[in-house]
Amino acid sequence: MTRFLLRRCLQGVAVLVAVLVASFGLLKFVPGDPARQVAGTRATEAQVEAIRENLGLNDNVGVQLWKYLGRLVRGDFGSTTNGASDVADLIGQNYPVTLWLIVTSLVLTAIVSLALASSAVRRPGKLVDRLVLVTGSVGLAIPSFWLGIVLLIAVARPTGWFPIGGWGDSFGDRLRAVVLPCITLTASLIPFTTRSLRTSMLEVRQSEFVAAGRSVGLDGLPLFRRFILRNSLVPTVALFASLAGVVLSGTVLVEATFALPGLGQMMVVGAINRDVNVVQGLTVVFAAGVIVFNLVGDVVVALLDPRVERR
Amino acid sequence: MNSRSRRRVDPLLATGLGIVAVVLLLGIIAPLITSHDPLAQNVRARLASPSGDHWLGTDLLGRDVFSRILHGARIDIPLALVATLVPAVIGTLLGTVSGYYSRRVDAIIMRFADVVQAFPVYIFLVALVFLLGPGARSFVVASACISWVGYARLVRAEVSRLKSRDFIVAARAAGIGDRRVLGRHLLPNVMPQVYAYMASDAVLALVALASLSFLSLGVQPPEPEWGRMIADGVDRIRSEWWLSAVPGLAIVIVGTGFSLIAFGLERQASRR
Amino acid sequence: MSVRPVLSVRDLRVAVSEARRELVHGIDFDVFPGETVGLVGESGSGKSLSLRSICGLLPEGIVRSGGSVAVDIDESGKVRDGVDVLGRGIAMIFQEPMSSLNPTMRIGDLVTIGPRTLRGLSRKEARSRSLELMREVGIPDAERRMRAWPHELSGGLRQRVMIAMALATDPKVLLCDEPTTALDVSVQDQILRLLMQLKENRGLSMVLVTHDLGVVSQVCDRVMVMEKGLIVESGSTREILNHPRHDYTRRLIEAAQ
Repeated sequence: MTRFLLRRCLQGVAVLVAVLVASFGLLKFVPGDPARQVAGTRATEAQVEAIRENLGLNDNVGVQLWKYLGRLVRGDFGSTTNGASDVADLIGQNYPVTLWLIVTSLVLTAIVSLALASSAVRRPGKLVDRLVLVTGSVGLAIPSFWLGIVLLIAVARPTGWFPIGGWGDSFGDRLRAVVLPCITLTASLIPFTTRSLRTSMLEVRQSEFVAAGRSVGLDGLPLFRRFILRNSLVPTVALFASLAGVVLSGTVLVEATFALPGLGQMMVVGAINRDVNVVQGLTVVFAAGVIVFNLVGDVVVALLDPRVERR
Repeated sequence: MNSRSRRRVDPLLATGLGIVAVVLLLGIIAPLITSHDPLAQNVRARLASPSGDHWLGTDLLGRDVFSRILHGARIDIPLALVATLVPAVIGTLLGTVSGYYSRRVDAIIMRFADVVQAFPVYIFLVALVFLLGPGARSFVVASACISWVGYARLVRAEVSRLKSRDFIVAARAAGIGDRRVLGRHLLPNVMPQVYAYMASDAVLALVALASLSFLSLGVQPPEPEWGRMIADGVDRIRSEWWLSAVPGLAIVIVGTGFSLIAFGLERQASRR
Repeated sequence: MSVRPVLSVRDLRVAVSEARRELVHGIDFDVFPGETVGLVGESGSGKSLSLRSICGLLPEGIVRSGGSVAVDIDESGKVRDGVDVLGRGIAMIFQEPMSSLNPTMRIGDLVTIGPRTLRGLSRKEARSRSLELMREVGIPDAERRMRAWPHELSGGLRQRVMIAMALATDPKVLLCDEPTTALDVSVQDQILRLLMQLKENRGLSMVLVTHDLGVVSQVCDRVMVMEKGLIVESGSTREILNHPRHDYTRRLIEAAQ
């Protein structure tokens, strides 16, 4: 297990380095003058030049890359364009919201898709099963931000149980504030996970070791718990890890919809305000998030399936 | 396959095509259906409730919402299609090269694909649009930069699987040139799956366009784009909730149409 | 008083549930206490389906469409269907030891999963029982192997684990579906000998499905030959192998030589 973990961590670091270089290249090799882009069309030539100097764009590319990597390793993401605050500090302030949202959504997704898939599999081709398949195709067509708004209209407004957007100071307020965003994000993940779980459960149910389990008298819940569940989870967890991008993308939209002060919101505001350091820093943070997500997924798969370590 | 079974269209595919075609048509003939200019502001008639004159009421600037939704079809559907087509062409080409030709080119292309996929889609979209400046053109370029990966992987896998099949090996052994083998034998077997993937990608493109516009990074006001309209209505959901709800419904309808097309094409592709 | 059969099968029919296409067309046989009965035939003759339908372990979409199975193992003399005594008197050994063991359970837990669930054996009892059974089926170094995963064992050992798993349910009747087919030749012999030995020690009755007449001659008291979903010939092993009356049986024997 240790060796396996170590190898995966090293792979993760390799991808991270590639991502850092790519994020640098993003600003470097895209057509147009980044300084001009940042300054906007109304800036004078002198202002553009000042920004260029400020961004270190007058150095040669290798030096720039080296400086950039060095800064990131030290956790220095620079300051916001208006100079008011430090990007790393801002990230530190905003990440808990995003983390809350992600963790609660993952838990809810796991519960709902397990319940849906196992009841769909119990009677293939019947109502629940069809429902799962239909929501799979319609679900993808529902923009998550719109679903969030519909929840605000249909649930938050008439009941008054949940705030119409915004975060809270106390634990209770935060809990209430995260409910609808969490449901929204979960809804965008369910189509993927439920379908995958359904498929793998059907497959596992047909396998010979389940027949062997039956042959020693297991049935119903014990058979499901000891023989079917864990084996069907393996491919879904693997898929889950590959959905990291969807999860993190989802937080951007969901935070914007519900006015949650998290990293996604920060990214969007940064892009609207044309703030290079914010966008670049968050791109790196989110990409690192994907890598961590994948790593955790790999570890969970390895814990679930003893055969994995050998590969 | 005989001509009769070729002519029979999958019912899901037909339904999906029907839905998209109808909405697109409604967008095209919008001026015939409604006399309101989607851009005409009327501050005195702002936030009017639905009535005989304004079927879905008016927005914050007094523009007719029904007219804007119909005209939205002219923006959202074509843009989603272009943002699907461009990466599809690029990805298919790169995937073919990757699967058919040398290992070194393959390795380079696939490492690029890995890096692209290391970023969450929307983060990458936002970052690219940030660089290129908001707008429809940036959206298409950004989509091209991101979505080609799916096609490249799909085509690469299929091409390298088919490459070792008897009929391809035979064709190559018979001295038929690479281009002919690819054009006549390989790609015809791969394209049905690419089409199915395109349809499901169109769903994502449609939603991505609306999402970016919702975030003020896509199509810019005053154009009647659906995602932008949802954003415009957000502040009024306590009272005029339909301002946000209805444009979203339009997206869901068209998206479901694309989804059904994808399902139908997938079924047809797997039946062959 | 005559001896009553532990298992009697009457007019057993198996069909594809949707197409209503019959695969086994009504077979009858009895198995008496302590007896080993072979069911031979080529692949597709319906022998495996017949065996599996006795206890309801048919693949999805295939059902027992008619006939009866009576299992008489209860001391009170109550006769029940095989489906109802699965894991409670009837157990099964499968063909592929690679795929018949749950890959996500350790061997020690797997062996006694049946009684642990059904009879509420405590963890400690289950452990010592597992160890006992693993020794009984000849797994060397059983103590250490308790903690092994199925994929860490060789094919022969896995089949022994499967046998131990079946024995854990204290069966009176053991259904064996090609138990040696997937194994190396040298291992085949060991497993057969183990089965014979268990049969002696525990007084098991066995039904053994195989296409291998060598196995039949080594283990079985009686043989039934199946072709296209019907039993075409049956009798004592020696009788059938030395004086086959049916053409199909003769071909089978020739093919084996």
